[in-house]
Amino acid sequence: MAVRQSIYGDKSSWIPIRQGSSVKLANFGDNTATIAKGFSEGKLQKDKGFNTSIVHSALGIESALSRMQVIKNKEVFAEDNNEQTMWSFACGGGELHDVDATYTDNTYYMLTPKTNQDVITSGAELITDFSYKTLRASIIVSAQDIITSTSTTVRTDLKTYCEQFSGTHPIITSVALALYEKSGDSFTPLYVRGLKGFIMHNSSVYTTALRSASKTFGKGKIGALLGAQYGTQADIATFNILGLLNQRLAEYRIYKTDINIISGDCKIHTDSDRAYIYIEYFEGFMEYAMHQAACFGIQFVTDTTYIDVDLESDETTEAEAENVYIGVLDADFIGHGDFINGKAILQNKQYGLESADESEYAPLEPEDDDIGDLESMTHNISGGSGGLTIYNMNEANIVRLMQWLNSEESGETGQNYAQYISSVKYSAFGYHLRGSEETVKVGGQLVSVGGVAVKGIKGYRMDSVTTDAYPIERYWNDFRDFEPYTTIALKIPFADTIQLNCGEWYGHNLTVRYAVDEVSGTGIAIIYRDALQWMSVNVSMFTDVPLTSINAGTYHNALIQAKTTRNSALIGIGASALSVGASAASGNVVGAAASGAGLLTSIERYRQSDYALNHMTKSISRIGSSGDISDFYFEWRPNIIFERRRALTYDKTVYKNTVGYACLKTGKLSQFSGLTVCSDVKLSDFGATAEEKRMIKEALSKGVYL
Amino acid sequence: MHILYGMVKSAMTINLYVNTADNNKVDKTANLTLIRSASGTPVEPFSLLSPVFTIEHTEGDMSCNYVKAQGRSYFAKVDKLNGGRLRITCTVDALDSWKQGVKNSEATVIRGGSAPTDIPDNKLPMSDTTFIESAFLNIDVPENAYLYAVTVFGGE
Repeated sequence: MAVRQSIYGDKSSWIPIRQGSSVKLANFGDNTATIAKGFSEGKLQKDKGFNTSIVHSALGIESALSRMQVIKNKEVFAEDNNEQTMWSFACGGGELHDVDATYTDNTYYMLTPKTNQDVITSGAELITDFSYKTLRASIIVSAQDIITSTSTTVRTDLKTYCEQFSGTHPIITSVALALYEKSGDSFTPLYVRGLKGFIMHNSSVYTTALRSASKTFGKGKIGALLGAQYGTQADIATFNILGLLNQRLAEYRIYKTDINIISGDCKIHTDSDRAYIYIEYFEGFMEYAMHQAACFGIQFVTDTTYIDVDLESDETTEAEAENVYIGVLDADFIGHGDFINGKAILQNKQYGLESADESEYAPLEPEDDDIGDLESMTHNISGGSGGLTIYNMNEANIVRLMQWLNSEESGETGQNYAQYISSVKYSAFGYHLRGSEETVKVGGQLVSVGGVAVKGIKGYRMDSVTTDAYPIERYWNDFRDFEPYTTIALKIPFADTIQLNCGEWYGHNLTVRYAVDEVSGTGIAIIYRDALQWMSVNVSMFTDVPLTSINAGTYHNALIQAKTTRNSALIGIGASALSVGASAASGNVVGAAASGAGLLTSIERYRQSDYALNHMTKSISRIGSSGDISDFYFEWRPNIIFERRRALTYDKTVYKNTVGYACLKTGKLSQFSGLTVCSDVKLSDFGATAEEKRMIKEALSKGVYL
Repeated sequence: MHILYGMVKSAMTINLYVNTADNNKVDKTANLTLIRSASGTPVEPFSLLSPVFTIEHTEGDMSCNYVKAQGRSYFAKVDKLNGGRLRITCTVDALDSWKQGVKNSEATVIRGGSAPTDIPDNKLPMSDTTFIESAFLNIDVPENAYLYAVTVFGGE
C-alpha cells in the first residue's frame, strides 16, 4: 500500500494567482480504469450519500488561517493576530444564505445550508484585520449529487447513465481556499490553494453528460463543478458562488487556476509551476476522501439514505450506528475526526478553543426540558348531532352550486333552496378532506354538484393546518441579536401580530399550527418552539363568502310575489273594463267613472309590478359576521419579521483600544490582552504598599492595557 | 519612615528611561529605552512612592520621563537646577512595578476582547434606523384545493 502523503509541507508551493492563467489539470480520463478499481472498493453506493445538516466551515477556515500564519512566518500576521472578525457565508442548493455573522474568537457559527437540492455548497469567509493589512480568506465546498434532481432532462439522463454504468451515482466535491489582501475598498487575490476535487464516479458517459449539463445550468452549478474538473470552459465554483454573494465588491472575477483531481491513480503532479495537492491511492481511499470533504462541512452518511437525510431523522439519531462523520481540519489542512451518530452531533456543539479568554461564552446549555409532540395536540372532537352537513368544495363546484341555485331548474320548483344553506365559508388553507366527492343534497334535493361531505360531524370538529418549520437564527451573534436592538414579530393572518422574545427562539424552529373548528372557523393558532407548544392566539379563520344564493332566494320569493301582483292587477283591469262598459250602458256615469278609475288603478298596479319584475336586482350581500372579507387583502401565510437596528460605521480598532467591547469574563489577567476594564479584582499576593494596591485597583477599574 | 530616611541618605543607582507607553499599560518593558544609569542623590524627606533625586546633568538626560530605582518603576519629571544638576521628581508606576502580581490577579473583566459579545454594550455606535428581514412560513396548499365549506341544514 502506498503511503498517504501530502505536499502541504512545501510552503513555497503557494503561488500568486494570475488572472486568466492557463489551466492544467490532472488527466482524469486516462486513468478511468484504475480509478474504477478504487471506487469499486469504496463505500459509496447507490442511495448513499451525504448530509449537510451541520457545517462547521468556520472551524476549517480558522485552521486554514493558522496555516497561512505558518506559511508567511507571521510576516503578514501582526502580533494581534487573534483579533478577528469573521463574516461567514454559506449557501446550499444554489440558494444563498448570507448569514453575515460577526464572530468572536471562540465562536464557531454552525452553518446549515439547505439540503435536498442538486448542488450543495457551504463555506466560510474570514476577514481579518491586522495592524497593517486586512486579509480575506474564503473556503467554499461544493458538492453535487446528481441523483437528487430528476426534474430536468439532462440530470435525469445523468442519473440514468450513471446507474446503468455501475450502479452508483456521482458525487463531486470540490474545496477551495482563497486569500485576498484588502487594498482600499478592493481585494487583491494573493493565493488560491487547496482545491480538492473528489469525483466519485467513473463513467465517461456521465462526464460527457456533465459537460452538456454545464451549458444548460450555467456557472456555479454543474458547470462550475465541471469547470473545476476540466478547467476549460467553466469557472471554479468557489468564485462563482462568492461572486454572487459579493457582486458589489466585484473582486471575485473569473480566475482560472489548477485543480488536481484526487483519484484512485492520481500521479504526482510534476508541474512545479502550480500548487496542487495529491494523495496517492491507498486502501480505504474513498473513505479517507469522504472524511476530508466532511471536514469542510459536508457530512457523509454512509449507510443510510442520501442527501436529504436529516440529523433528527430516525436513520441517524435513533440508530445505534455511528454513521455521520464529523471532523476538523488541522493546520495542514488535513481532516481528523470520526464517525458518530447524528444525535451526538445535535447534542454536542463544536467548540474549538478553551482558554479563559476565549471560551467564556460557551453556554452551559442544559438540555431543554421541553419535549413536546407536534403531532399529538389536535384531536377530533365529537359532540351531539348538529343536524348539519358540511360539504367541502373546490372553486369549480361552488360556482356550479351557485349557478344551480339561480337556475330555472331550481326556481321552477317554487322552492327556495338557498334557505337550506347555512353558510359558505372560505379557508385560505383548504379543508382537510375525509372522503371522496359525492352528490350534494340541498333541502332534500340532490344537486348535480360534487362535494366531499364531512361525514360523522356531530357538533364541532377540529381540523388543523401546520406551516413549515422556520429556524430562528441569530444575525449579529452578539448582544445586538436581542431586544431592544432586534425585535422579532410574528404576524399571524386571521389573528394578530405578536412579539417574540428573541432569547427564547434562537436556535429553535418556529411552527404555526392553526387548530380550527370546522363549523365556525374559530380556533387558535398555536406557535410551536420546536415541538413544544409555546403560545397560542385566537383566530377567526374562515371568511364568509359573499353569497348571491341567499339573495337568489329572496329574488325567487320576490319574483313569485311580483307575478301574483301583476296577475291580480290584470284581473282588476278586466273587471274594471267590464264595469265601465256595464255602467255606461246603464247610463250610470258615476259608476262608469268609478270603474274607470278602478281600471286606471289596476293598470298602474300592473305597470308597477311589471316594472318591478323587470328591474328586480340581485343585490350581493354577505351572511354571518365572523371573519371578514378584508382578510383576503392580507398575506395569508404567517410572516415572521425581524427588525434590527442598523450598525454605524466605526473604527473597530480604535473602539477596541479606547472603549473596549463589553464583555463579562473572569480569569487571571494574564489571560487577557489589549484594553481591559475590570469591575472586580482580587489582587494576587505581592508586596505592594496599600497605596500602590489602591492605585492598581483604580487603574484596573478605569482600564489598563495588558 | 525614619528607617527609610536613614537608608536612602546616600546616593543610589537609578536608571533613566524614555517611556513611550500609555500610562495605563501594565507592562512597559517593550516601550522603555534606557538612556543611562545614573547616581541619584535622594532629596529628603525621601518617599518611597514619590521620591525626588538629584543627578549630575549629562547630555540626553532631559528626555528622561521614566525611572527605575529600588525595584520600582516611576513616572519622572526632570527639572534643571543650577550647578549642572538635574532634579528628578518621581511618582510610582504601580502597574509596572508590580506587573507580575497584577497579571496573576483574578479579575472580572467588563470591557475587553476584540468583538462585540452577548453582553449589552451601550457605547457601541448603533443607528436608530432599522432594517427588516422577513420570511413567510410556508403552508402547502395544493392546486385545486377544497377551499370552500358549504354547510347545509339536514344531517344524516
